[in-house]
Amino acid sequence: MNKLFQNEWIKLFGRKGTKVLIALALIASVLAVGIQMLSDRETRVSWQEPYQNAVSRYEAQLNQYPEYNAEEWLSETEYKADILRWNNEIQKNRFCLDSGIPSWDWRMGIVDRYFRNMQLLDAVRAGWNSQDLERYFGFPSDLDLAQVEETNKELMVYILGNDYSTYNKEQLQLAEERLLKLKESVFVEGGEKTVELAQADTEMLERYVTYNVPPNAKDNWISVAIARIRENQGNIIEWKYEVNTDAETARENVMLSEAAKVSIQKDLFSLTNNLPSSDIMKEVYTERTTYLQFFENSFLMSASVVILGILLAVWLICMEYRYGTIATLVLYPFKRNQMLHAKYLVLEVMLLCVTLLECLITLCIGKYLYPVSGTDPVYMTVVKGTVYWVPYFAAVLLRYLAVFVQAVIMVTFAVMVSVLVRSSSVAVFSGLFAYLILPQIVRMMYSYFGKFFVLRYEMFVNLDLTRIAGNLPPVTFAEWWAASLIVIVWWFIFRRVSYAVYKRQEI
Amino acid sequence: MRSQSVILDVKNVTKKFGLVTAVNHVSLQVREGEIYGLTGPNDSGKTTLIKMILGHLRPTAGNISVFGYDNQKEYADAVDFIGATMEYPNHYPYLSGWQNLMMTANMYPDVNKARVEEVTELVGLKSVIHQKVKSYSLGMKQRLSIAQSILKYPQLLILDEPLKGFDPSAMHDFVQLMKSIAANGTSVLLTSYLLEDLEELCDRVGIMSHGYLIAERAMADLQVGDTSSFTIRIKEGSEAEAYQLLRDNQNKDIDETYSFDKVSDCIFEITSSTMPPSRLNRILVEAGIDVEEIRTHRQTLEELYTSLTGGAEIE
Repeated sequence: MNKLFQNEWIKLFGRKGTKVLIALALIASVLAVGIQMLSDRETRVSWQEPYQNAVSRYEAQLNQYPEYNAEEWLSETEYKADILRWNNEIQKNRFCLDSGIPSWDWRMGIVDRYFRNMQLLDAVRAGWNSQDLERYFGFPSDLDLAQVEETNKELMVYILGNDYSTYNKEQLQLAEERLLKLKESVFVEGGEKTVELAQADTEMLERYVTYNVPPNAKDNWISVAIARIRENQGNIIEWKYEVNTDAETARENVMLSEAAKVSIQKDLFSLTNNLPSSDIMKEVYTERTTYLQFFENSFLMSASVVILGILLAVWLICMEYRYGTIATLVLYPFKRNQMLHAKYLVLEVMLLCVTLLECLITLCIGKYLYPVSGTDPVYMTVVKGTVYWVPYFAAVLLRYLAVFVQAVIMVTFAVMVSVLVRSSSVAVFSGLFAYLILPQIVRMMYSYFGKFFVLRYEMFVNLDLTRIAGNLPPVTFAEWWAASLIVIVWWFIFRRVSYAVYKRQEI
Repeated sequence: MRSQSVILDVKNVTKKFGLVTAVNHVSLQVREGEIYGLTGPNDSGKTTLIKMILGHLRPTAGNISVFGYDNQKEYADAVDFIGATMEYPNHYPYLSGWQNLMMTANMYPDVNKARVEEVTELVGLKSVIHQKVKSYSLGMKQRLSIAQSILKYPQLLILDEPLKGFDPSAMHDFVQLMKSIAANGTSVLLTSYLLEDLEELCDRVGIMSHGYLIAERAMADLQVGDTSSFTIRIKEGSEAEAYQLLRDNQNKDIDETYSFDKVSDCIFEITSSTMPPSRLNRILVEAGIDVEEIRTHRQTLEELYTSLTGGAEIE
């Protein structure tokens, strides 16, 4: 067997084309750096730039807006509403610029509220009546203007003082009062759903107070985690109370709720143990590209390993028929199954080496160019209700392992087709079609037409095991274990068919 | 029961591809140390038969055994004795001749580097063995195939059209090589369209046509051949007496009639189905005529082939 392996290795690596293809696959991982750098150059702007752009845009709109003409389709009130709205936007963006408040700052929410109130006050000063205010700006007609002015004064204190601790406490107190009021009410608009949403709000604010972090700050992982928990809780409540849904949608809602619960469990674990998961860290805003973000982008290039596997597998099988060497190969004192086994083994060893090399290149380049941003994330998963975690580096290896497994399965498929049809062009086309195009078609079919929902268990759709490593099922709404089982069963079938055909076929 | 002398035993083998019968009830045997040649027109079934012997194709009916091992049921044991080359040389063109041979050598524990060097020299590829096979001529590729097939000291060598692409000198080398291999006890089964070379090389020849093995002859039989016509060369100066004597005896005895032609001054061609050359020799000698040579007419393989196949084109 060792000798057979040696021979297959010579056959594979004695060919210049093999080395070129492997080099290309590895270059792909280096190319990822270039693509990331280009993308960074596009997106790397100062925090002021979006505000400056917004001010310029609204000013231009105002300058270009013609004088009101009664014959136009626009009513005069609508015309005035536009001007009021744009002026308000200009003021808000200028304020953020002058006060040094970037878009990811926790105060952005308060700034939004402040200028919304300003819009109301400006409109009232300009003589707008309550009907038009409700119609064009959505302000309730029973607003107490004095109260609005008072609120804005308080909001400005928080904005300028940057005191989120006090803000959190006050917001929590308000939320608790509201919740109590809702619970005591005989009739609540929206019923139980409203109460549950208010409960979720209260819990969120309790967490902000407990962890003493700025609320809704996009650059703070704890704040992001708390916001994620609230978002998932909100979704679960929405799905729970969704009415008039068909059976298929109801089933989807149950699955989505389960996924949201798992996400909440992981985020709570992160908060309790001060271990940010990679899922959270992906959502945390950073001014510079982090290693994690680079890795997510460069990982896309790992598909090159699978494509390399398909091409070389087809070549290694079909060339024996093309060169006629299969005739002498079968005369060697080995069983045909052993010969095919040696071919599989060589391909698998080669793929493992290339995957590891690609992983190493990505890790080294990424680590060199994009340092980890302060906090090292961990990879987290939930199995049977228990949260498990490993350092992110281990997760990287796990993901590349998934790429390797994916490549091995596609190689098995390509070998099977090659043995069956003995035509390299047909085998390459089948392999690439199954890997790249078929899953897209199936996804489209079952997302557009509910009746094809069962297609989520189609083999090639489930092949993206890297999603399992990334804490996602290969296909939305499919259970990860079912997907894995399908892939394993099909791999076994491909393997058995290839052996059976290779063993019995005439030459 | 394992046979002692029969190395290859093909029994009543038939191969059908759909409605087409490529090989039809063919039986043949190759014995130890024998060189057996197989010839026939295009599509006569030679290569199909070879492929069945090598286990590349499964017979529709009949069976084939090598050293008594059934090549279907005991394939590994059967092919263990066989070295083979196929009609078209098959190597990895992007590798060197040496790498191709070493890969084959790898497969057999008793074949070492020294053996590879020996075989390389034997087939005359020493100077080019490290070049890539894609740069080889057809003749060189054939030599490489032969080298590959004899690497493991096979006891049955099967060569499908091994002479394709050989120049006369290479052909001569090949014939010598095959004879020395056979002399060492290896049996050889080869197919060829070069009848003269088969005649020189083989101990026995089979002729296939339309899937049938239509004739099988030992070369010795072909060479003893037909004595119905022969030539007599007499000593110069006795031409007239010899002519007279031959004419007088032409119809003298009803059991020994013949006709004759004077081919040249001293040579007469005799045609007879009843007069043996030895008897006529004695008549001439007793009459005091010196007979320098009697040559019986030898039927060539080509003549046999033509008479059996009507001269169909062979490959």
